Amino acid sequence: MRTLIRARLTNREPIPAPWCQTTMRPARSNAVQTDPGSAAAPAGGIRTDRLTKLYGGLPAVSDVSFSIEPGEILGYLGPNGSGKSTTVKMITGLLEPTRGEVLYGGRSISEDLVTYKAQLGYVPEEANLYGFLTGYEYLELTGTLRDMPAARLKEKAESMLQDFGMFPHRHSPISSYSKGMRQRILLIAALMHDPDLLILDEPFSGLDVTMALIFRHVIKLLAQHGKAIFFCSPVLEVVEKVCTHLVLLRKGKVVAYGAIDDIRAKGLTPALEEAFLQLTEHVDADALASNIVAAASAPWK
Amino acid sequence: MAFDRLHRASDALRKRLLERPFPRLVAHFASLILESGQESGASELNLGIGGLLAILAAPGGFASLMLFEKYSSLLRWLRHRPQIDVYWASLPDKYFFIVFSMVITGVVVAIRWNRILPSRQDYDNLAPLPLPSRTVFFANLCAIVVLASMFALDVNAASSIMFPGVVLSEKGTFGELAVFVGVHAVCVILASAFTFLTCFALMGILMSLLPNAAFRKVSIALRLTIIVSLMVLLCTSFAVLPAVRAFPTHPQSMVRFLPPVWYLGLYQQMQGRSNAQLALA
Repeated sequence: MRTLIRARLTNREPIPAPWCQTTMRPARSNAVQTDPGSAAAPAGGIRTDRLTKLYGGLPAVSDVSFSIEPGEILGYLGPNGSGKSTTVKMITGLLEPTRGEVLYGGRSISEDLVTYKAQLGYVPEEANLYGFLTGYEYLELTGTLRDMPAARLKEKAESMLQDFGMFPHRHSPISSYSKGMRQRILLIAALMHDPDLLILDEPFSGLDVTMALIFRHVIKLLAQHGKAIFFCSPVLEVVEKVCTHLVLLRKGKVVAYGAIDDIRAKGLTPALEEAFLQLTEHVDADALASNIVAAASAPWK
Repeated sequence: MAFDRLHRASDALRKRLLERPFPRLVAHFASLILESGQESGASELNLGIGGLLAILAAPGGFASLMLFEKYSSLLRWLRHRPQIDVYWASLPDKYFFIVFSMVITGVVVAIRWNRILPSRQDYDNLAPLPLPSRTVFFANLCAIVVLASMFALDVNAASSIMFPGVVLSEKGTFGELAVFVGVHAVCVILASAFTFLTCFALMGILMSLLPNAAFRKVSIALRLTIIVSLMVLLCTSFAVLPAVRAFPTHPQSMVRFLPPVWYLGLYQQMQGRSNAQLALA
């Protein structure tokens, strides 16, 4: 991380941090999938095929198809309750889809869930960590359970704790950590085993501005190193800045899917924010904002 | 010097073991059961495993020491009861130690009840890791078995050595003492294991039958019932013995349904001092 900042300051090509040891692969060109159902199966990437989840007969997610190839960052965007978390749970193998399937490297993940999870780095929406463990102990636990060699685990954990600014707090119990510190521990735990696929569910939640900025660059750099990244967020600005591709979700259904530039170029609205509002909630932001201010300004005595 | 070397060797072995996924997971589940599970650890009383084991081991030792008076030949001579069969005379004390062992185990299980099986937090942290469900299940089971055995041994260790020593302090050979120690240890540890497994089975049945919200409500009531029942069993242990002694004349007595009586029957049977009714109980 410090390497990255230094590189930015000196305007030179950043040197990968010691924990980021993958062979540099060029990012794939931003080919656009206009038809969500026809997502091609990438060799080392992930693909969902008409993924559907019903809760008591009601669809939480319906016929969601997309693919992420190595080097791509797919933004998964939608308002609260649009089915983002359900999709995340299905593609992490935590929830079984009612219909459809998740394919990794061309094979259904349900065929060998353990091998799939070994390739996966996952940052959940909520950091429900063990409060009695220290940050270092938590990383040691997850690294050991991922069967990382002890010496390599120690080296990587210490290096990443240093980079994420957590080294001085590594022996403090997690119960004493702020939300941002817990989030950093989760990010380290997700990256430490050098996964090929990263699933990030609102990863900037709780991070301060500097750390969020740094992590945004980390995500881009990881994509350049050939990682396939699924980035779930309800915040349009963040997705727009980070992702190469986008899935817009509304009431469990994909309403737009493709390269971000292409969605912009389609000319739904001049700005992507407008497109997002139109595609997801169909609300008049100005009118709604005026109503809220009027309601707040109304006499209350 | 030798102790230091042994300590270093065991420490190195422990570290090597904990570098492997399965032993690490077992250790993790064991520490989860022992931990308070509260977020703020500063103000709460945290004894640590050593302190907890010492506190649980102490009562058995003290209770045995208190019995010196009963088995002293001088005091018996002063009370004009010079000759007694110590195996029959120790019946109430054996019953007390069996009940005591069951109470300690039951109370510890009732207190740590919600930490025995993997929780939502375990799911959030362990489910995304490349671990088969059966590995998680067996690691949890191993942690439970290891801890239950450790507690059963700890609670009963002092009484298993001291109580037979006190009872046979003035007569009996070393062989008799060794047999007494073995029989006592087997019976009290089995009683502990019975209590633990009964609580565990109850929990499993309730979890299988009830929805999560209902289980949580019922679970609190059940834990309280278990603790109160065990306390009642301990406080009334002295009242049960007359009924046990009256077994030959009243074989249909209700005390035969009390689990400690079953283990008392086993105890006497193993020592060759049982009667037909007690053996059947």
